[in-house]
Amino acid sequence: MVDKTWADLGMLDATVRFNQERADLGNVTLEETAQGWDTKVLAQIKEKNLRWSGHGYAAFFDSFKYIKAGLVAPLDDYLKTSKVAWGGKQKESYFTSRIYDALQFQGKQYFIPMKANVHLVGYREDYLQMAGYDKFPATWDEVDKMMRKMKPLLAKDEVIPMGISRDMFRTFGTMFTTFIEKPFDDQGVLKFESQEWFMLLEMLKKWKDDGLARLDPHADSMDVWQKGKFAFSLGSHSLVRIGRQVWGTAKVKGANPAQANASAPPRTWVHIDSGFVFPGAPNPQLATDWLLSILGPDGTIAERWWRGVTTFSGQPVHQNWIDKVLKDNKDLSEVYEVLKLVPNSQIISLPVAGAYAITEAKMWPHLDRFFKGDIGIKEAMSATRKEVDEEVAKQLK
Amino acid sequence: MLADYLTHRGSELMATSPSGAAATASAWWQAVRALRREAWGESIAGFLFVGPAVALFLIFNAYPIIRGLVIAFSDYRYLVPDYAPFNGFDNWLAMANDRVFWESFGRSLQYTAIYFALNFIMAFFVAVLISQVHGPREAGVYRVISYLPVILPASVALLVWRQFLSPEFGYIAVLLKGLFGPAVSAWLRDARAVVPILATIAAWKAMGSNVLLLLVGLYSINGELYEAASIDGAGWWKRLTAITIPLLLPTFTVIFVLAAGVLGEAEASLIYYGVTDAGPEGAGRLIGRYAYEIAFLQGDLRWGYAAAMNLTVGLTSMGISGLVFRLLRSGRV
Repeated sequence: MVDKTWADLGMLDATVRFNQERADLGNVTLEETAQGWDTKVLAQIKEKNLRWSGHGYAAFFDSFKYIKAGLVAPLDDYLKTSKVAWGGKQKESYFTSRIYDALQFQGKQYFIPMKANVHLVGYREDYLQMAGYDKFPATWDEVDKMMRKMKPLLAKDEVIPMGISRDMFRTFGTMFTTFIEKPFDDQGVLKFESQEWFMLLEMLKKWKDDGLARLDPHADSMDVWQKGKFAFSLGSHSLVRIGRQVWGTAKVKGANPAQANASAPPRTWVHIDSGFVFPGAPNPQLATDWLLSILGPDGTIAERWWRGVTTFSGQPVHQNWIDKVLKDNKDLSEVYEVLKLVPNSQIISLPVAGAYAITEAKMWPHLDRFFKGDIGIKEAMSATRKEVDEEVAKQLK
Repeated sequence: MLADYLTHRGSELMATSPSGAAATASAWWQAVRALRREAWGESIAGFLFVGPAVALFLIFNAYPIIRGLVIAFSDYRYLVPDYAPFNGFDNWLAMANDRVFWESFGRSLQYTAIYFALNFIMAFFVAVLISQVHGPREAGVYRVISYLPVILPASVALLVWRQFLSPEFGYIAVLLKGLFGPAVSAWLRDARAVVPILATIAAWKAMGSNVLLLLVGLYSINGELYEAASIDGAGWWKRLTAITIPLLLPTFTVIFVLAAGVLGEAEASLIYYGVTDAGPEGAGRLIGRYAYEIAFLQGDLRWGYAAAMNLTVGLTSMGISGLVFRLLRSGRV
């Protein structure tokens, strides 16, 4: 099964191709997922009466939850016995071994990547050019100077230089990766009591107070971006794609995120969405072979998928597809460039997905008070730490 | 009926049977069986008519309620397979020490109070106005207009209001900015405005039902009472307070009891602010939303704790409803 979006983007075509070219492995029927599929599948797993064998899409932030709930089977045995050539060569097959590491949990591989989400800067080139910049600056200090030049020039149209999305992984998370090599600890909790986090938050608050940045709920942030009310923000490639829907390719560009330190290797936020196999599946080997075929590093079956997903702001995880689909693609040149940062970047690991919701829920009330000026950053994060620890202590695992 | 039948039949058999006691007992047993067949024959049609509704009720109402009660007294965690031990009142002990629970509950009480007041006042005002419209066709049009928000899907209503109330681009913000300057619309971003805004939207959406309920009550008031009061020199205020309101008390009771049910509501905040954002300074975290976050977003997904919270809210709603019912019934004319 898979959601309609991914089915339409290429998984359905790839599956048809799979059934034609790899009939030796079996025949796969791909059904579109309905909401609430997870409780139904769990019930069927318990009753040993599972109808489906696998799912083509686990959003990263759901991945950990799926493992814990017993919805995901470890794949190691099926990968070893797979007749799909690269099944047993996982570590060598991704364009960086960090991707392979990010698929592991407690020594087992649970997922096969269906797209990478590599974050970048989306910006209005016309606004930057007004301030005399023809490309996005390389450091946050230079970004600061640029924004101060931009502000008076954009004021008459009520445009603010920077948009900040009010969630933990788009603007905040991406910028944090440029300050620190490993933004999360081994338990997957954000290092929100680190000096780097404090520096980032103080910088953002100063920009907000100086009228250089605006903080919007994510749902509003995209709306404001499409209305052209800020010049740049950070997040997934969706920022660029959605901006271009209104302003066109000529005005909306993408670039690598600026860095806190010009001498350190540039980094960005990366997380992986994946396909997986259900435990107790009727045909686990076939499901694994199907995933390996449609998400593989080469072949006409996988080409259907990888060409499709790049049109929806997903990135390939194999060098072959990066070169074939992105390298000479003028419309996605920013994606090709930002992928070069992935080998330097910590790919967000599965335990992060588990701790994320708690951290975000506990942090934002204190962050709001910090941005209002009611409390300092250390007090805000100290209060967050207390509440996160209290909540984590209530969990069993 | 049964007693009469048995007595009559028994008497017949006693009169005709040579061996009194045994014959009587046998006769009684035959009478009972005959009556059961007859009663059953009449009843079976009734059972067939109500059966489907009862079955639906049992499956989709009774079973979930019972299951919810069982879960509320357990430490059921969705992410921990086969783990749902009975834990007595531990969930309530945890609630007592949960600061976020009390904050959310307080916001929900505030939400309910504002909803209750606005909903009632707006509905009463509109209903009285419509009741003054003499043309039946015109009154019908106004009734339909007043009911339209009720049939609007909640998500559509909330998202439309979100556009109205957008602090920057919304119609209200633009109007205020034009009249008073940009600083005035800043209140739309204020955490203190969150609960009143959500309650106002919910009250507006649900108002139509209460308008119709009040109109039923208003239309049933005998017009001669108003005429007599007018003749005696009573003005509109006196007529309202001495005639209309006392005679509408039963309708008020229904409205107030129904309003108590919004205490555990979650969808307004979830739709308005989204699933992962509880609004400025978490001010949109009502108790229903908090239970949702515990059950579906955070950590082990503690369904037991969330169910216990919802049970607490449900019992509180019932308590408020009971209190309102008692107070208003005691004041009935």
